[in-house]
Amino acid sequence: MTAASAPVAAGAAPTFRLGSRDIKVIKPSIHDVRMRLAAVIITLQVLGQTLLGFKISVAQILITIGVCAVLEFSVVLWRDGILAWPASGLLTGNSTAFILRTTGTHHGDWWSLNGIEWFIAAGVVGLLSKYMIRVEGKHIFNPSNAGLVAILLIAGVTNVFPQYLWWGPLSVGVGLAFAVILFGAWWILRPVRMLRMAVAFWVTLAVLVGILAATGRCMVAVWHPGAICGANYWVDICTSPEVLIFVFFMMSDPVTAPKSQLGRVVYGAATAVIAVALLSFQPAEFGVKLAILASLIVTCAMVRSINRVFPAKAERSFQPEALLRGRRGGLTWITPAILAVVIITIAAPVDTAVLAGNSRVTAVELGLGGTQ
Amino acid sequence: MAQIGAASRQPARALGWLLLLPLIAAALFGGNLLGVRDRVFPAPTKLSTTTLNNAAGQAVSGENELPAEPYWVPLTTSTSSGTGNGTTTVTIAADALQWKVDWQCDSGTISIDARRAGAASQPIAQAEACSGSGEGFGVDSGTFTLAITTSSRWSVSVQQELDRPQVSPPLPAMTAPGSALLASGTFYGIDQQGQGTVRIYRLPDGSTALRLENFYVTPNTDFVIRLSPLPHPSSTPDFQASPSADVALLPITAGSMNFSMPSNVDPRAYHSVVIWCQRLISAYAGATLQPA
Repeated sequence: MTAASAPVAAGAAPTFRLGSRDIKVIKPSIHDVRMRLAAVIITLQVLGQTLLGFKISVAQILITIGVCAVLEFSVVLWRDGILAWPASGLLTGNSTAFILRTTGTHHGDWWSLNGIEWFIAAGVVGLLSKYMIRVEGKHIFNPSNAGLVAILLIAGVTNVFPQYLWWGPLSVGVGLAFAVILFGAWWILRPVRMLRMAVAFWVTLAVLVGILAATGRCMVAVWHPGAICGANYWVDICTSPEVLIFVFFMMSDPVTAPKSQLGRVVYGAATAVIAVALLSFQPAEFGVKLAILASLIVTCAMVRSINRVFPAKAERSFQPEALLRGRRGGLTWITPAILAVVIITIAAPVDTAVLAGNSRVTAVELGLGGTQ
Repeated sequence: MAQIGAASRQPARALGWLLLLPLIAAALFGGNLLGVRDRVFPAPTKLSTTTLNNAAGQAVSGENELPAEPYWVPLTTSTSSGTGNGTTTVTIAADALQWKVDWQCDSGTISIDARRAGAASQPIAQAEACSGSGEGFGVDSGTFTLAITTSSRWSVSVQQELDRPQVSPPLPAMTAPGSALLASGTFYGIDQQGQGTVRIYRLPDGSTALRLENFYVTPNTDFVIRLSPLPHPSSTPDFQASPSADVALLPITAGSMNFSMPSNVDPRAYHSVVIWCQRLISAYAGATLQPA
């Protein structure tokens, strides 16, 4: 969830000497779009703690943010010799804590450290994916998305779960949350030119989930008695604040999204198609949410190909043959980074699909076990 | 798996290849290959595989019955005639979520084993100090013999926890000569879901009783059945704006059940029934009463 994880700009940054190294100092900028995203997510966190009954503690949020900030600060200092405000790390931690929940944490346990290891692991895995899995100098996966998918899959439904799709009946809190999300979308997506991508995702998702709902797909969720079918299935998925946050504030990371407008529309629609393909056979909310998160792993891995077919400098051109052109030849493509991308891109959807057959997931969502 | 600087290309690349191994292991672990993940992180439940699979099947087909808030049903109470060992037999329903044994003894220790034909003995209490009372839990269904080992006087009571609708027939007095149906209504959701019907009867002895039929309200605890003078309360503030009267606590949230009404409540003064959640201060469901 990084609206603009921009590379550190050197410019005329002040420097100081530390031992034998000149250290540049990059201060936070109020013009950084990430500040806007941070403001939106923090506002939603406050609403979650005060009005929406989020099952996360203040301590879990602060520790996750702190760990990610320290990690990013340290990596940038060590790698680039720059003392930089860890804006991306803060955002990765905040976004991770916004979505991840640990079984047994109750709303109002303000200082609970229950399952804190999973929050830390998600943040660290996300940032490791950012700094270790890089192709041509850029990270491939959205850090918080990669960390969340990994920890949700590895720790499983008995230890962790994603924030519920449904935030409660229409109330002041839910109304405010929707207002913040929609205002935030307009405020953040316009400068990074991601509005069309978001529309492409949501429209495709709405149509395809509508088809699933009409053909009798149902799911169970711990917050709903009985199965959720028909119109409720559509409403609970397509109008979920969680899904809107996913598309507005996670998919919109310019570094991991295509460069051209047309490419972004394709990226948005493709993510929705993959998400629906993965969620179509999930009987429980845990799997549905994980399917949506895992879909972004797949499309992030496709971004380089999308960029080549829909290049930014000639937005109207369509170059399918570019898929067959390698910028490097033969075996130089096989690097640990690319293999890691391949492993993650295959494992995320396959492991998510395997969940559909795990009766424990359904049992937990039916309230027959676990303490979500 | 590493960005490779020119000066450290070879060590970085070697490290990158090495780091692929945990990534592959994590991918296989996440996919629950050979059930490894479930073994490492077992579910915090002792429900049987059959129960879990049935639950999963119901969810996939979308046919799961609307469940009630889990509630405890007493099964048996047994007390020793003197001091020393004893046994008692109990049958746990196949769809019970769990069951528990509450025990009391006054000296020494107590052990309770649940024995079922063809199955291993299951300890409920193991040499627990008899300083008063205690409880132990079981999750399997069937007929059990509870073997109590103690030198003390003892008492055990067994309850099972269910989430199925409770179905009680109408009270005989509701259909006896001299009884009369005063009003009835159909439930609708206010803050949550509600369905089924309510009937209010005058019984031959002059008292009144209320019956819920095919009733369901979104599960929760701390429900009270209340009567409202409003014909159709549509929200919690709407309901709270008028004085209402308590009828009875509602411990079970699905099924057909009977309740005696307080003698100081005249049902003719009210026009609706509301299911009120005391814990959340919320009107969950309501039913407009139509005079018979």
